[in-house]
Amino acid sequence: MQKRSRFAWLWFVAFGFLLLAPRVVVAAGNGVLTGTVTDAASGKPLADVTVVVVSPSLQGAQTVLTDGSGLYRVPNLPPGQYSVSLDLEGYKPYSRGGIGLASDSTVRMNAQLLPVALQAEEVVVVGEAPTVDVGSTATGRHIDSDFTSHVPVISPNAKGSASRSFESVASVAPGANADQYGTSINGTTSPENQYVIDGVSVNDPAYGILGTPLSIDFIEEVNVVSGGYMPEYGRSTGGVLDVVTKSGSNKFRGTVFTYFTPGAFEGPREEVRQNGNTISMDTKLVSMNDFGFDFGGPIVKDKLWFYTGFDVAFTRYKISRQLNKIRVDAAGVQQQDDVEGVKYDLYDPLEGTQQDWYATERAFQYIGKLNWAIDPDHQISLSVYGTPTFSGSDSDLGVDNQSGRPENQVLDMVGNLETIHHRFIGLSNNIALAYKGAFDEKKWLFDAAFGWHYQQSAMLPADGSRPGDKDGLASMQRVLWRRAIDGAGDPNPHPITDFESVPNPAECLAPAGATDPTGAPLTTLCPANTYQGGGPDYIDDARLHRFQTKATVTRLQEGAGHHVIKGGLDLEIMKYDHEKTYSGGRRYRESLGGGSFSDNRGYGFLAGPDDEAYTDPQEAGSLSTGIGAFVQDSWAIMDLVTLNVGLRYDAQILVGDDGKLGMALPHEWSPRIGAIYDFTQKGHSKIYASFAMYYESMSLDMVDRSFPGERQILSVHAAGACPRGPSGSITCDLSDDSRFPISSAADPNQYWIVTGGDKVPVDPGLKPQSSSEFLIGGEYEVFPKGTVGLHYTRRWMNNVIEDMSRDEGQSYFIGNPGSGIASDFPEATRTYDALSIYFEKKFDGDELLHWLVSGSYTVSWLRGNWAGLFRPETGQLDPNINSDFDLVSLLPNRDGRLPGDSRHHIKVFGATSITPDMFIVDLGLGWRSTSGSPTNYLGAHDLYGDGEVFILPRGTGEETPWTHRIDGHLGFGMKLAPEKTMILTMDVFNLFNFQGVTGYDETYTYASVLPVTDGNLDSLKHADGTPFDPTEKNPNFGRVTGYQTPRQFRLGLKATF
Amino acid sequence: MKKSKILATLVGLGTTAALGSLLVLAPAAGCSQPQLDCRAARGDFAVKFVQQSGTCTSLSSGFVGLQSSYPRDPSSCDVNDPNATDCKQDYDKVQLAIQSEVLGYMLWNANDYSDPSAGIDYHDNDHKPYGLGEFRDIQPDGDDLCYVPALSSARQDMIQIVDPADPSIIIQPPQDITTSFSNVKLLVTTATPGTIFSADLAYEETIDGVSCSATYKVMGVWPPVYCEGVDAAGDPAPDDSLCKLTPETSAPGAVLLNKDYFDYVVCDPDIFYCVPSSLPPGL
Repeated sequence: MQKRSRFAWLWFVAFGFLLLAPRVVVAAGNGVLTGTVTDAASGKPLADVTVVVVSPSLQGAQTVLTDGSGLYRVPNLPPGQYSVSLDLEGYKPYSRGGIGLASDSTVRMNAQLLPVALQAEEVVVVGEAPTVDVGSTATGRHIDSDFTSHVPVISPNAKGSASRSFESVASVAPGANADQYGTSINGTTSPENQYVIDGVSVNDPAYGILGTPLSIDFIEEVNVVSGGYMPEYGRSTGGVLDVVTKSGSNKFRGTVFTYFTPGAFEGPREEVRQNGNTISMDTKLVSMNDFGFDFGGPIVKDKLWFYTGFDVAFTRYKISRQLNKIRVDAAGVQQQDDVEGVKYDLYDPLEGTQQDWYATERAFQYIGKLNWAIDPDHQISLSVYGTPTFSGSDSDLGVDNQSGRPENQVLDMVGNLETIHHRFIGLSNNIALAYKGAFDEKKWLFDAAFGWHYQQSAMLPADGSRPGDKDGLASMQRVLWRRAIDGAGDPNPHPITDFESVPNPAECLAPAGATDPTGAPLTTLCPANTYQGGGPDYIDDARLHRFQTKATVTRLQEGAGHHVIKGGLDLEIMKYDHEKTYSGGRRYRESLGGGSFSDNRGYGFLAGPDDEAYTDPQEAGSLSTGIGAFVQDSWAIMDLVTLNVGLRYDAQILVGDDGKLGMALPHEWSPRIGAIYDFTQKGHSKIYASFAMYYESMSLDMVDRSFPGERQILSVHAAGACPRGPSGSITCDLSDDSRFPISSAADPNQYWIVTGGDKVPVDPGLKPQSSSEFLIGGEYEVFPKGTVGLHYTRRWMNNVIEDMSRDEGQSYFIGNPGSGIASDFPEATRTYDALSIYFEKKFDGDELLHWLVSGSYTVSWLRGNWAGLFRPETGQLDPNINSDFDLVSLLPNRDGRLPGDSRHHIKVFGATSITPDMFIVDLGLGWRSTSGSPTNYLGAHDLYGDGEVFILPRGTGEETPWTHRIDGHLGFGMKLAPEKTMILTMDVFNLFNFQGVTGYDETYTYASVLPVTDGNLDSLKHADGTPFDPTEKNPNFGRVTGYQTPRQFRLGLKATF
Repeated sequence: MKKSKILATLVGLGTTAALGSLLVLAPAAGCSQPQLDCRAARGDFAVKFVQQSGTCTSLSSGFVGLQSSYPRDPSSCDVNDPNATDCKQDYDKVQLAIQSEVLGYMLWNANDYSDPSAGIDYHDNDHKPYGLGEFRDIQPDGDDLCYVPALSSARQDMIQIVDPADPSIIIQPPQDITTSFSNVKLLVTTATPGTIFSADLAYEETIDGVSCSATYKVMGVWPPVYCEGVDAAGDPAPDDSLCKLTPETSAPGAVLLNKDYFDYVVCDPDIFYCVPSSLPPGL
């Protein structure tokens, strides 16, 4: 009874923090507060000291006793601001507040208790404010809602940016940079990361990228772990993005907000000159806006809290489409512009042919959460959250799910927009259930979790028909019109009037004797050299599941210091049900002479000679079962140095649609070892080193396409048997009478060719894909809440899994380049070295002013011949089966600077919040400067096409210049009442509208050439051995292909109650 | 998704959960990669016919096309409906079709010279130019061999084909040729997936009234690699070295033989393609 009254005053301290503390909180977590309590006079450790830990983030108070060595340890704490109080008979009570705890971190707070008897001197025990996590060697950054609401971080041009997805926040951490599909950490690619929200892995089971782009408004903290982490985290060769969502609290609290990004305020942009064309399309952002709210509070104070949130975001792009005609002079000769040797065809607009189209997206977000503290030792949390996103409609174009760009910037949409465009569905729903229990005075901990991550990803016809439907746009075949020549070999492209009506068709007639600049006859002034007619082409619907269960046991043990021993088991099942087809069963492709149409793409198989079985749609179910187990010990040796030792075991089996085993990946042993020394012994510093091995979790796209294989069949139809229909479509007679035989005399199939693969063979000696990491660094807290640090990282690949061919593309197999049956291939390598210096002062201050500063400088080297799970040069996202290593003839010159090899990265962020009287003034700034990326000299390959041959060693092209970006944040608001504020914000991205160069044309020639082995361009040869003709050099080589995104604004209004 | 799909998903999950727990119990058991199903490489094989008996002199070397396939799975769709688009493959059965170019060229002549509008049809509509059989097992045996013991006979029986512009020009005399392949053996491994085979061939021909028959041992390799070189006099001659090129010694995109076969092939002087003169053990 007496003890309670002693601590009553603690609640004032706690309330005081509530006024300035972050508005919303979380309840169950995995942070740890630990420390040693000693007698201030004698220095001896004190046992049985009552330690009470409270926080607005915590349901109730946590109480433990110190052990025989004076050590206390309070685990399972959610991130937030903590107060610790210590009480022992015969000593003055001690308390310390303002201890900030981030998620999954350990803070050591030692204390000395003053004996009551000691009156002689006023021993001012300065309670330190420790922030250094002395229990781990993990590098990275904790980014909390204080940071994201004051510093401009989520620019409007990334995937999920309309609803402000958390992923781009990760690029604040040293060693993390945006890549095409997300965030690259320590030289790896974004599909290699583990994305975890409330303990549930939310990676896309098919591609590995982020599957749930949850809004930053519902998130308490993003923990970007870039390396040095313990075996509890597995199935990643990149980093870990561990996200903790917000929770309720003991007070009813909520926010209502809206944001708006106007496309009209975009800064002036530097344009890249493009060649003229009969059909031109110009895309601009119209606007992005979203509305949302969140609300949380107690159902039973200190026991049961709820939190809920909802957001809806709209994005709109405008595509201005115009038809044009070739400009000819009085003599009928086609006109061109000559800009330093590069020729641009000149076109003039056709009157009355301008059309405005829109690409629109609607993204919803929801979250509902319950935190139940059964008692101080047992907690349960349940969160349900999702991000359903829809784009496109009958009349509007869609937005691509994977990259977040309007579909006409990702697909070839030069054609009949009305019938070829798509609707997209990209939704995810998640359930996370977690239990945390503590036993025996918190010396035994038991955690169990269950999660279900569900995704649907679909690209559907504009009219809502489904793959396999026999009517609607799903049944209309796409036609790729591309006639170029007539029977005599003279130019004879389709005029645009073959497909679309124009107000004045006479404008497209070529005058008699008109020619192009080379003197070849012009048959029309409005050539449609290629035209996409007919239906939506590739359409699919994918349903993906991930079920996870895990259980972890932790034991706190004394023995030559203290041990925190952990062991765990987890099971993960992933399922990928994919329905895909080409609309109408196949895509038709016109021959260059116009005399035939081939089934350029079409899923199906031959059940016997010339016995075709189209599959419309092709359905494939792929399955992965994975188990993981780990054991680790964090041993504070004699309480001086901490040694972390652990071992993780993973195994994964992959089963394809044929119900048979596709690939087995057992015996993935990953050791982790690290040591940490705190030379202040007070939680203010550390020096650390660690070594770790990591394994990749294979994603199911490879299974979908390889086991049993993506079977396609092809035939060729006489053009006469394919009369034209509406919208640029055709309807071919499907009997063999109208097909051309296309095979050799010995082939039992005369009319059909099987394209696409059979089940891909796997090297019997296959080794799972893994990487290793070495890390060494130090950190020091120079003043309260301000730390500086330094670390050096080295990462390298041990084994890589890729598909290869040893007979120039006639047959493929999956193996490890450089070993097993692929030992005649060069080893796949990727090596990353980086040195980072950083400083951070967390958001903190007094009633009037709070401020934060953080920054880093990283110098890094990324070299090798394999970039990762997608190819940056082409954007191909097919983890482990992309075109790297496919052909032996493509292998020379691949070793060198990889596309992500930018030498220097500077990042500085700062924010301040001034709150005089009832006003709030926020200022925030972000500065990023990055040195340029390497470029290449590329040529074409006979089989694989443009840009596949490295003429000179990788990375020897001119480096792109530095890019800089300065972002600003301004907020002005009012405190209408205690706990009620209203704030108006403006974020400006690329404040000074820097138009830095983002790429050069790397195609040295479009001719098929051989790699040069002596580094001398003069010895360049064609594929057939003849010397290269300098006139075949691409005149655009080395010219700029893109500039930075211009200045953009985001306005916001947020009310907190 | 259909109910059956949900059920299938649940059953699938249940079995894999059980499988998963098996993995937990026996990590030391060691999972090995799946074996390839029996298959033949797609396309033409360059073959050598070694006569065993008989009087014919027609065959020495040439091309034979192989095609392996899975039939339709009757539980997935109506296998008798040619327009069904929901059929899946039956992975428990693998078929093999073999066609000799001799019968193929007969078919081509029938295609080229038939004229339905004039009532002229040279096609042999009673017979197929390919033989069809089934693999004895789905997967290779302990020696990496796959067997197709029996196949149907292939036959083309045609009347004389004349040039429609000048009927005195004979395109193809009346001929009736039957090829009966049997005892087909293919070597199927990850490195050599059905790219070399042996077979027995019973051959009968009646050309312009003259009959003969013969049996052959057939040896074939894929892909067909052209190996014409020149001799000392500058005349065309077979060049064995062209059969043994590697990606390092040839132009990109060149058609190459698997290096495991280099010891078995020679350049055939009649067709200037690389054919087996002997075979790996077991074939």
